[in-house]
Amino acid sequence: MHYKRYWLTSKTMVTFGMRLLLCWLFSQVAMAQEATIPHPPRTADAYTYPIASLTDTAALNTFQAGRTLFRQVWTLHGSEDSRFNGLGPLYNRFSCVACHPGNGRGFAPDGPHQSMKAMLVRLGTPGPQNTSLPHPVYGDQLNEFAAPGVASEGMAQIDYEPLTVTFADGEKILLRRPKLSFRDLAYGPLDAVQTSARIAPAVFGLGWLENISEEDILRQAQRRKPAGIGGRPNRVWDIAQQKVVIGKFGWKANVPNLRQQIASAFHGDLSITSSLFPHENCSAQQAACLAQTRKSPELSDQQLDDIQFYLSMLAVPPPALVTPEITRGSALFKQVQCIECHTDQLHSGPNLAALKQQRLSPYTDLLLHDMGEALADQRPDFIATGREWRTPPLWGIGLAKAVHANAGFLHDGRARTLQEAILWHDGEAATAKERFLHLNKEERAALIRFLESL
Amino acid sequence: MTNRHHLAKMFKKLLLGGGLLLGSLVATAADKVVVMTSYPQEMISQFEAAFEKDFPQYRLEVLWKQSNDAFSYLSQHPGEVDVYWTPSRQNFSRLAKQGLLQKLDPVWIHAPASLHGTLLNDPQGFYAATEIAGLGMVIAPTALDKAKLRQPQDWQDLTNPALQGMIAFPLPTKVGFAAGLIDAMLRGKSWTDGWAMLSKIVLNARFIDNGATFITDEVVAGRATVGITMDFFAASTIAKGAPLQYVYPPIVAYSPAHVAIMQEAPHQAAAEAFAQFTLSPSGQQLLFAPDIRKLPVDPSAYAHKPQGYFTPYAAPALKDEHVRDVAEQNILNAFFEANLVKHQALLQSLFVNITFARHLKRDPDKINDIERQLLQPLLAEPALFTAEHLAAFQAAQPSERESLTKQWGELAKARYQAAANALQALLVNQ
Repeated sequence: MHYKRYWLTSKTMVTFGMRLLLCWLFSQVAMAQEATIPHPPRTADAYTYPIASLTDTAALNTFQAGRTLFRQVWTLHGSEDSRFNGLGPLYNRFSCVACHPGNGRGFAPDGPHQSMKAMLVRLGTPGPQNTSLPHPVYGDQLNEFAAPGVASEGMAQIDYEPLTVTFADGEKILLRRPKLSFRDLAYGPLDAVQTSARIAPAVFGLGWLENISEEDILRQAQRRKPAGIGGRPNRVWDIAQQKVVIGKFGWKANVPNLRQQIASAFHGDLSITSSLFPHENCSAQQAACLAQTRKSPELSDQQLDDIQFYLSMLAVPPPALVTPEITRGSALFKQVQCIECHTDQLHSGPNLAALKQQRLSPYTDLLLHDMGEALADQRPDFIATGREWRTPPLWGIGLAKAVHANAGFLHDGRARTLQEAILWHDGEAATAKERFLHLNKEERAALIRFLESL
Repeated sequence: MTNRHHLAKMFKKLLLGGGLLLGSLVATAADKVVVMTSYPQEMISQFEAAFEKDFPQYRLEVLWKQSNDAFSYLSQHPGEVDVYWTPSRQNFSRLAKQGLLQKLDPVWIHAPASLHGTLLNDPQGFYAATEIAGLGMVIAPTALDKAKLRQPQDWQDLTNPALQGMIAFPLPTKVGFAAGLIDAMLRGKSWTDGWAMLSKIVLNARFIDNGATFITDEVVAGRATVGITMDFFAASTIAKGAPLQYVYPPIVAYSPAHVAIMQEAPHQAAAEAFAQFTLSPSGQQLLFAPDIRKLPVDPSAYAHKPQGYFTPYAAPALKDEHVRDVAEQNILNAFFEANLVKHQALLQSLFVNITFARHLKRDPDKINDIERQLLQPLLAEPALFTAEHLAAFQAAQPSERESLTKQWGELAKARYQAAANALQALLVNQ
């Protein structure tokens, strides 16, 4: 304070100082203008940028706080930095980015010699009226790791059998059909269990999807489509609202909103409790796990807010510059009927100022579709049957391999390429697949090029 | 030595061959290796996948602990962890002193004993360096060009007054990776010249007290044009397309990370396999991955480096390659903060007014004298690194070092007060 008083005693000094300050401020403003965060470039970190309109400093700070939590390696109880405590006792991975590398998609092991690094196995037992209930011992997800003193539940492994598909022009392609098994099960056998192996999805653009209104989704369900194609929303339980709503997130649209999706992943994958999931995921038979439970919630509401904000504000990369081949591929995408479910005609609703009332091209209708027997997991999820899956969004999918070279496609990562993914389509997509099989080589390449441009 | 190396290679081939012959041979619960680390997920994921590929009979189980927690956990839970693998020389040194580590097989180690004065491997053989990170500058060339500023190449270049507010500077007392920064900046200069340079850099700095990628973020977002940060933080951002450059100044602060096998490792063979893997050509090559971008310790690894990758072993030797030890660096960092950082705003005002006094053509000798006073260190070098101060900074209780830093802060404040008074007299009374 003494210094402050002194500096104000000389008027000339202040004037001169102000000039210097103005020059400095001017240079800072000029720098800041150049520094406007660019729209995501189509590079390996394309999924990590905030939406272009997020320029407010406080909002960017929240975005960074959420990003820290998303990238953070969470620790078992007893660590000095208690902000990131709470991992386990039973868990799959110890950070969000382990399964969402670069905010992108997960991947499947290439065989039984590899462990699951960015995917998990959901479990269930048949319940009344074609529902699925958590396994009485292992719960609804196999946790492959455990804190010291607790036995991990076991390991899932995937083997593949080859499946050859032949195009109308004679070209053949080799697909791989996954076969799941378990070993080292610590809590007894997993007989007659329903299983669903799932890779982690990409996490950008989720704010937009959340902001699509139920009315818009219902309009998609009611829209007239070619014969054989239907589509219906899943109806799921919203924990916070304590009511049934339309599901938007998850491979079977089995989660109502982003907040619940985040809390569910923290709970299921890292065993970190929150206000939405306040109990550790230990079953009554897992005594050592129960003995290590700690005060709940381990993830505070503030932390949940920050991660939710971060994921809401992750921008969608812009499509690549259009070429004649991409234009041709886009036309074929419609002609083959892919567009019927992977629709580019949705609108964001009135929520979240930065994301509201905009036309969206997510290439999803957020509806459940019967995808045929080959893709079925036979594990119902709310009203979704074992054959039904939510149409996954395709925006940004062309960068999946740039973000992570091993990125897999379809719910269990069995498809190593976009073409393989198309060839696994069946059920309501049988006609689309059949039309794709009858395209010539150049047409198939153009359609794939279009997808890669997204 | 050659025979042992040959045997070790044969052993690995047998392990690998066995794995391939059996085909479906995979890890069982007993065949795991428990590794404690504080590495980020990206690095763990890369090593996990590659280790699993080379040694399918072992499953990597990671126990993640910050360095602050790791030492107490390892000393209190013997027989739980097989391998400690992390950047924390202090912890390795303490664990070795307490007899908690095994000696490593020297045939695994291909790194020289030191790099430009930075000790790499433990001379007693209990832990070995696995990788090195360098501390230099990430710059935004486009922004510097537009501001018509020369790209900094050396720490001295950061004294340019035109860089005021544009340098993101990690606080060495708060940001772990910056612990050796002030020592590196001072190296090769006299104590007084070095301190004067530091003082001028402080005038330009924007201090950041949380580390990791935040420094790079500052530069990416344009809030700074220069950021002092670890090479790998910046390199992974650059590799992903950010329009930045990384500059290694002639004197880089190197931070080696190490690996060690715990004395009571419960899975001995798997522990040896993992420790050896981190030091092997496969493990060293992984460090070049865009998500990791660390510097291998094995000089032969650089034969296969990506284009443009920095090779620390190729950097010319320095005339002063003495690197202070951790305790001395801690004293230096605390002194830097108490003397300069805490009074940054005041120092900036004083220098604005020195410029003003020169503009008004006040007595140049008096102005120069005030400036010289401000740029001098509060203590001579021998008076700072005394046995008493070292003991205070190595003590478990913080009270003595807190008292020292408070005392240094007050000394600094008194000096700046005197300078303010002298400037006032010069500006107002003439």
